[in-house]
Amino acid sequence: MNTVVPYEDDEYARNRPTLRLSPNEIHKIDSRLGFHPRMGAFMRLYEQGHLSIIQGVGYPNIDRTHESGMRIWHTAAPDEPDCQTGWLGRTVDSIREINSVNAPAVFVGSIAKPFGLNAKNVIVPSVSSLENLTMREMPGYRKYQSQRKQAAELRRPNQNNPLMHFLQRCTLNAYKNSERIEAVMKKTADTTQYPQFELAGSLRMVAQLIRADIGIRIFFTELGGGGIGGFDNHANQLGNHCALLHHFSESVAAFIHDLKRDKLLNRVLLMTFSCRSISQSYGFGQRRPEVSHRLSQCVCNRAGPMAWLRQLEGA
Amino acid sequence: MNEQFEKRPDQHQPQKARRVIDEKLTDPDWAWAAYRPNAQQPWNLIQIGHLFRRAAFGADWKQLQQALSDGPQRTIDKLLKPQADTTAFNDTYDGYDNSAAGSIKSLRAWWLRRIIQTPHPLLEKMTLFWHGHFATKSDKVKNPRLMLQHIRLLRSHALNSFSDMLQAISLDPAVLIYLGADANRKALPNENFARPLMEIFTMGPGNYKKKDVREASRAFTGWFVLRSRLRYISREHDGNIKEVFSERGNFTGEDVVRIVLKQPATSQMLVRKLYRLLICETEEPNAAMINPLAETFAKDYDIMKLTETMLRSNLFFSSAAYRRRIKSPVEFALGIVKALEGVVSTTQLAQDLAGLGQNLYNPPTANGWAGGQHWIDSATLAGRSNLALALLQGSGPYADKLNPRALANKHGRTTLKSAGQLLLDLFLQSDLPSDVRESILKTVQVTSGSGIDDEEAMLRRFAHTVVTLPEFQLA
Repeated sequence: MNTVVPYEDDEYARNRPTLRLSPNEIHKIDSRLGFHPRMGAFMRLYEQGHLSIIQGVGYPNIDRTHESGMRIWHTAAPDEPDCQTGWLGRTVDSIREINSVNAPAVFVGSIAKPFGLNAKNVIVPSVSSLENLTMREMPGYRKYQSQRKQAAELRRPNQNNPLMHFLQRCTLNAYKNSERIEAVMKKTADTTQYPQFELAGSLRMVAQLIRADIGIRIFFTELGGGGIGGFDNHANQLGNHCALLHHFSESVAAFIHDLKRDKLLNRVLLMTFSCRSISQSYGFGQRRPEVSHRLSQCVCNRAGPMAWLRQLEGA
Repeated sequence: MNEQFEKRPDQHQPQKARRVIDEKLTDPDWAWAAYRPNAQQPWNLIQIGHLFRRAAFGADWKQLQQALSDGPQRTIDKLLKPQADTTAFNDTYDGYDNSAAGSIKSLRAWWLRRIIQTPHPLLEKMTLFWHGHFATKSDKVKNPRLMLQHIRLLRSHALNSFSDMLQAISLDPAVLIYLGADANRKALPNENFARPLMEIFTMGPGNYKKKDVREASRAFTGWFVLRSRLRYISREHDGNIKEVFSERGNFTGEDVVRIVLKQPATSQMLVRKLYRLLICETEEPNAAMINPLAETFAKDYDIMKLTETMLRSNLFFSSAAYRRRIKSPVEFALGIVKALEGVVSTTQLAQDLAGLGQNLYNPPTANGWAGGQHWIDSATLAGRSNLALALLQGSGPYADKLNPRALANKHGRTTLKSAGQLLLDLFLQSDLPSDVRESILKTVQVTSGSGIDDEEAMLRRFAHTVVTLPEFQLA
């Protein structure tokens, strides 16, 4: 409701007595909708044809409790209260083949991995630094990596053991990926301009991993989350959201420009979710049902064929 | 001293001898008979390393040497029933658990610590196995005390009777909450326990009908978990006739568990699952191999006896089992810790193992950890390599608890070369192709001007090289 604002809607004005944004400050998309005043970067992406908006994404019969709302957003299974996997977790389970050497998905960030990535079989790594995915060496002993690699590389006579063969392939691939990531880290050390926000840092890592081309097909990162500094501020959200939405749009714009410059944008689909019920919480700090109402929106950044980044608002 | 390395279970054997063994491998009588050391399959460090990877979490030098002189019979006796006072040990750790029961993070750490220190590692191995089998997730149960109670239940039955364990599981609050089976009203029978009971805990998919689940769920009516406590409300129990697997009666939940245990699919499924744990996960065994064990197991569901048969068998010590399993993250990390005789921070370790896909107290779904090749891809291997680095580098979150140089000195290997050889024996019983062995041993050589500090660093790096080899990922 704060990302794409229905600024001319009477319901909006009526339901958000203190949170509503003045039409004068809105970046207007048309006579009805506009971006938040601090989201000028999104307006520019929209004008350049890199961004599209899908409204009304949600599910019927919302009971509007935080717990079930979050569960449904992560499982995408509103009719299965005991669903044990996340929607992306199920996706990675279905795309990973048992003998494949690469991880199909990663979570980028230093907070706990969201439930949406919970898979039955596949392990989705959390990456808080690119070094997590490289084969690091003891300080002062970098030159030994080649020896370590060589020992893994030498032919094993006993290849009737399928596990041995699989592990050897994965180990060698891990060294190869590691070299690719290190090359990317060196190349783009200071050449890219990202703002100093946490999300921008995460997106920068995503861009580097896309550039390294190590087989990861799904990246997930999260801005906000609950609590102080997150989006879950109920009636107190006005000031906090200004800052967060600014971080959000500037970070995404930097990411898009980074990929565009390297002609990678047409390989990437970035999707972000933001959901909010229409009415502001009654009273400040009061716990109140929220999460995706009929006007909840989903913003897709459209770039070439389509690219998604996913930002699941802590709601 | 190197003679014990010359014979390897699956290489360097004369072709003819090997073919004879291959044929025997398909004969259940031979496969499950107790292994006796012989010329083709001598009792050596390689077999001992294999045994301690499967029946424990690796071994230190003293244990390997002791087993060499004890022989297979006595070594397995001790693994099954240690001479040490296990009751006193477990009482002490139960006390630690009680005081840690406020948080899952502390409970995780104490469990890992118990695994490192225990005189009865097979018990912890089996407890961890059942934790995956009856997978219950703390994130949903949201009550560390109930989770602790659950793990305790598993430990108390882990090597005893599967029937008793299953009966206890059917009344375990943590399990019922996790499965969404904490309310079983007469008017609204809940299938959330009856279904996993048949699909996951016993028979497996395809061996029961929807009707069996529906009828069984009526037998479990009356049981509730209220304010974290198990309650039986008799007026909510459906006392009418039910029909489960063609048996009719006014069954209770206990009756249903008993009936499920009588189905041949149950003992077969469990034997297969233990086969994957203890023997081999690359090939699905045929019915002829499984049936003799399943039939015996079904008589009393004695887990200890089944485990014993498998561990003592010819099959266990054959090439069909050797390195035919991928180590779980816990087995990988503790294999390093045990061999180097240190106790590291298990709070940190539990966190790092969660990152590698094995979060104790939080298996991913009710199906537990998928395991096998699912543990491994290039990202998790980089993760394993970086965890080994952190454990071995002598500083950082794990501090200087593992020191290969100090360990080698303790065992009288003062020269660089003998220390390198010791580490190779400890971690892999030196079972590597000779060119691989030579190539890595070349990295531990005295160069002119190298001092004590250099030697220490060299051996840390060497240990890191060894534990990141593909071979070390295999159990």
